[in-house]
Amino acid sequence: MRFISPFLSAILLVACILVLNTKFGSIPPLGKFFDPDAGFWANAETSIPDSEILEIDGLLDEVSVVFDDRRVPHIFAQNEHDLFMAQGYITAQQRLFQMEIQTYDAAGRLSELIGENSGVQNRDLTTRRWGMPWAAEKKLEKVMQDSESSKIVQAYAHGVNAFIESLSPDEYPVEYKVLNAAPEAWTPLKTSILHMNMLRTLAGGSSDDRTSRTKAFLGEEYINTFFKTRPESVDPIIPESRIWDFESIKPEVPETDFIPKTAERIQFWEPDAGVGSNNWAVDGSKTANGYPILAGDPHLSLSMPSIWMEMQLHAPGYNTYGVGFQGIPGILIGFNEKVAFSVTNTGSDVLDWYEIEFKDASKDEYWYDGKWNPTTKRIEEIKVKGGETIIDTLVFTHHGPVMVANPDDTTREPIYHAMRWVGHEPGNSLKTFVGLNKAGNYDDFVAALEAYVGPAQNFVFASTEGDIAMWVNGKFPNKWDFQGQEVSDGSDPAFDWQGWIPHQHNPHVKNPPRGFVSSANQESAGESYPYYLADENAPYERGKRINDLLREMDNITPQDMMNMQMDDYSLHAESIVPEMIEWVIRDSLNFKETEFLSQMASWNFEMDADLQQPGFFYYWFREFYRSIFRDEYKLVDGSLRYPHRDRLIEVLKSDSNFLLIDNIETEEKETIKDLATAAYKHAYDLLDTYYGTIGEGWNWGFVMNNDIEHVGQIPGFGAMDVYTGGSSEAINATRFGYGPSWRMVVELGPEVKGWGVYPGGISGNPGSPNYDAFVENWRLGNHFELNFYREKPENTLYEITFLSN
Amino acid sequence: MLLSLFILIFAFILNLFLPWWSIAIPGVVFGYLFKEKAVASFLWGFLALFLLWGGQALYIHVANDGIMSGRIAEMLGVGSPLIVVLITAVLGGFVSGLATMTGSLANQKKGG
Repeated sequence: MRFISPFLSAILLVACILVLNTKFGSIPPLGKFFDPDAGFWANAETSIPDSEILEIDGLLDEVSVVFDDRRVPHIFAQNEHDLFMAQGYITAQQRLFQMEIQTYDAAGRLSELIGENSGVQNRDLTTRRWGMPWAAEKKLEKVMQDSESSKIVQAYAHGVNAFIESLSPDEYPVEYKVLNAAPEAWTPLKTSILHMNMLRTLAGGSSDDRTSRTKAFLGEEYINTFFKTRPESVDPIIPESRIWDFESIKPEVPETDFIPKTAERIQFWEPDAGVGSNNWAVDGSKTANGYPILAGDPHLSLSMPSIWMEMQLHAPGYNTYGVGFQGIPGILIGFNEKVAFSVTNTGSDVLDWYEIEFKDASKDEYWYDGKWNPTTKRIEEIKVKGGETIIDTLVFTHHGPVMVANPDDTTREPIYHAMRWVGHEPGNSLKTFVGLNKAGNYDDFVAALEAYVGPAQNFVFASTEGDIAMWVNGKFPNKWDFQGQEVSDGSDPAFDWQGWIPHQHNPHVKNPPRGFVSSANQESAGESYPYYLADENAPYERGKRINDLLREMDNITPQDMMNMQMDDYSLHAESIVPEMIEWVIRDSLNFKETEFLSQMASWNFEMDADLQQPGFFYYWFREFYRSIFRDEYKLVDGSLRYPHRDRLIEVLKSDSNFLLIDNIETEEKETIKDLATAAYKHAYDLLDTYYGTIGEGWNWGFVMNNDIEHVGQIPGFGAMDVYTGGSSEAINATRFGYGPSWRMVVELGPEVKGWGVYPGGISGNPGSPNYDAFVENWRLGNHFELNFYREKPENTLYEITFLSN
Repeated sequence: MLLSLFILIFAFILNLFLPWWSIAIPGVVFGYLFKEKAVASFLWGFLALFLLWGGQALYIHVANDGIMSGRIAEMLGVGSPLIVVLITAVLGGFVSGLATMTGSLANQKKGG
C-alpha cells in the first residue's frame, strides 16, 4: 500500500528546502547557515592563513603586508596612494562586518539590513533627524576640496572594494550569514559617516532640557550649587599655573532670561555614559632614559571585535604604528619614529537646543529676529528590508534640524526645537590625523590640529626632540558664561552662537615646569582661562589621581607607566567612605552587617578584582545617591538633571542637612544617617541575593559583570565575564563592559619603542583563535611590546604581496 | 548501502560548487534509479548526508578546536558544540532523505 504519493513527497521536499532557505525573524536560513561548505562552518579557521600574492586593480606599485606573530598587519608601500589602498583592503579583510554595521547604524540605515523592527526603525529615524547623513555629506565636500585628503579617502575606498569584490558568498564574514545579507560597496561618504559616528558618540551629549526642567522645579539656587560651581578638588587639564597671554571678547549676555514653553524630553539620543579616557606624557627630566614617555588609554564601550585595530603604515613620509577605527584612513592613536600622540574626550558644550515657533503647520517659515524666515527641507528615505520605505521630511532653521518634543502626545500643539551642534559644521578631521601620522615635531603637531573640528579632544604629544604638550582641541563656539546650559530662545539672535574661539586660544600647554601633562576628561583649564567651554566634565578623581602620582614619580620607566594604567585606586571612595561608615547607625544592623562594616573600615580604597569591598561600595553609594533624589525627582514628568557625585559629596560634607535628604514620602524627617544606613542594608541585601552569602562570590571582579559584547550583539560572539579590577573613577576605568579600549605606552628617543594591548584581536572573525587572543593580556595589564619595524622584516607569520594589475 | 555511498559522493561534489540545496539532487536521481521502497530510500538518503555533513562538521569542529561551534552553540542556546554538529548532520540527512524518497516514489508508478 502506498502511504504517500510521489507528488506529495516532492511538494514536501521543495517546501522543506524553501523553509530552510528562508530567514524567519532573527533565525538565519538554516540549510544555508549549517551547510559545512558555505555556512558558518566555512568561517571556522583551521590553520594560520597562507602567504599569498594578489593582483588588484588601481595599485600604482607593489605593496607588502607582513603579519607578525600576533597577526598585526604592517603595510610597506611605495607611495601614499598605495599605502591607504592597502589599509582599506586589509582593514576590510579583517573587519568588514564591523565597518559596515557601524556605517549602517550611523547613517540611519539599519532597517535596510535588519528588516521590520520598530526599535530599529526609531533608531534610524532619530539618526536621520539628527542630520547625520546630511552633515556627513557636508563633511565629505570639505574633505574632497583638499587634494591630499580626497586622494586618501578614495584610495581607501578602492582598497575596501577590491577586497569585497574578491569575496564569494561562502567567504562572507559569518555575521552576514547570520543576517542573510551581503556586503555593500564602500564609498568615501561612508568614511564621512563614521566621522559623524565619532561626533555623536563623543560630542553628542547635552543636558539642556534636563537643566531647564530642574531649574523650573528646584529653582535657580539649586542650579547654581550643582551645575555652575566647579568642585574644589578639580585639578584641571591645563594647570592653574598657565598664564594666558591673550584676552577674550565674549558675546553679550541677553538681557532677558528665556523661559521655555516646555521642559519635556527633547533629546532622543543619549551617548553612552561610559566614554572617557586618560592620557599623559612626562618629559625627560622625570624619566630613566632622559626622553619623554607618553601614555594613553581611551575608554569606550568595549565590544568584540575590538573597536580598534593595530596596524603599522610604512611608505615614503610615513612610518606610523598605532590603532585606528575601521573605515577611517590612518592611525588615530599611535606614534612614529619621532613623535607620539593620543587623545581623550573634551568636555565642551557644543550641542544646544532652541525653541522654535513655526508660522503654520507647513513649517515653511519660523519666527526669528522679529520676522518670519524661510526654513529649508530635506527628504530622508529609510529603506526597510522586506517592507515599505519610510519617508521623513527634515525641516531646518538656520540653527540646524528641527525636532518635536514628545511626538506621541497629540492632545496639544506640538512644541519644536532646533538643534545647534558642532557635529554639523563642515570639517576635515582626516587632515588632522594624516598630519599627526606624518608629524616630526611640535610645530607639525600644532599645524595638524588646526584643521580639526570635532569631536573635541585633548591631544597629548611627546617628541624625541624632548617636547611634551597638551592641546584641548576642537572648534569651540565662543559663548557667554553658561550659554546653552538650558533650552535657548530660537527667535532671538542674542542666543545664537556668535563666532568661534580662535584656534590659538584653545587651552594648551607646552613643556610645563612640573614636567608632565595629563588629561582625564576633567575641566579643560584653570578658572583664569578667559573663555567659557562647558558646565559638565568628568568628576575630578581620575585626573587628580594621575597628577598626584606623576608629581611624586621620578626615573620613570615605561613599565611604571603601564603599571599606572592598571591603577585601581578610588579617590571617590577615599572621599566619602569614612563619612558613610560614620553615618551608619550601628543599632539597626544585624550581626553580619555589623561584621562587614569593620571590613569596609579596613579597606584600602583599591577597586581590585579580588576584594569584596569595591562591589559593596559601588552598590552602597549608588543606593545612597539615589535615595537622596528619588523621592523628589519622581514628582516631575521627564528626567531631571543629577549632580555629579564629586560636587554632591562636597555639598553633603559641608551641609548634612541638605534639603533633599529628607524622604518626603514618610512622616518622619530623615537625616543623612538614616539614608546611609538604609542604603547600607539595601546593598547588603542586594549582594546577598545576587551573589550569595558573603564570600568569593562578592569579589568585585564578578560583581562588576564585565561583559564585552559583540558589535552586532549576537549572543556567543562576545567575551563574557572578563574578571578584572577597575572602576569609572580609577585610572583603570574598567567596569560593566566599559573601560580602556586600548592601553598604549610609548618611550621616545633615538629608537622609539611602544607597548600596547586591547581586549580583542586583529581578526574580526569569531571563528578564529585570534578573535579574542589579546583579552587575557588586557585583563591582566600585560601590554605587548609592539613590533615597530624600521624596514620590512624577513621573518613573519605570513605575508600578502599586492601587485598592480 | 551502495545507494548511500553514491548519494554521499555526488552530494559532496555538487555541494562544493552549488548552493546547499544541491545535496537533494543525488537523492532524487539515485532514489529513482535504485527503486528502493519509500522508507528504505528515506533512511539510505538520510544516512548519506547525515554522514557527509556530520562528518564535515565534526572534522571542522575538531580542527578549529571547537571555537566556532562553541559560539554558534551559545548563539542558538543549545548547550554543547557537539549538538551543533548533530543539527548539521540531521538537517542534511533530512533533506537528502526526503529527496531520495521522492526519487524512489517517482519510479514506483503502480504503488509499493
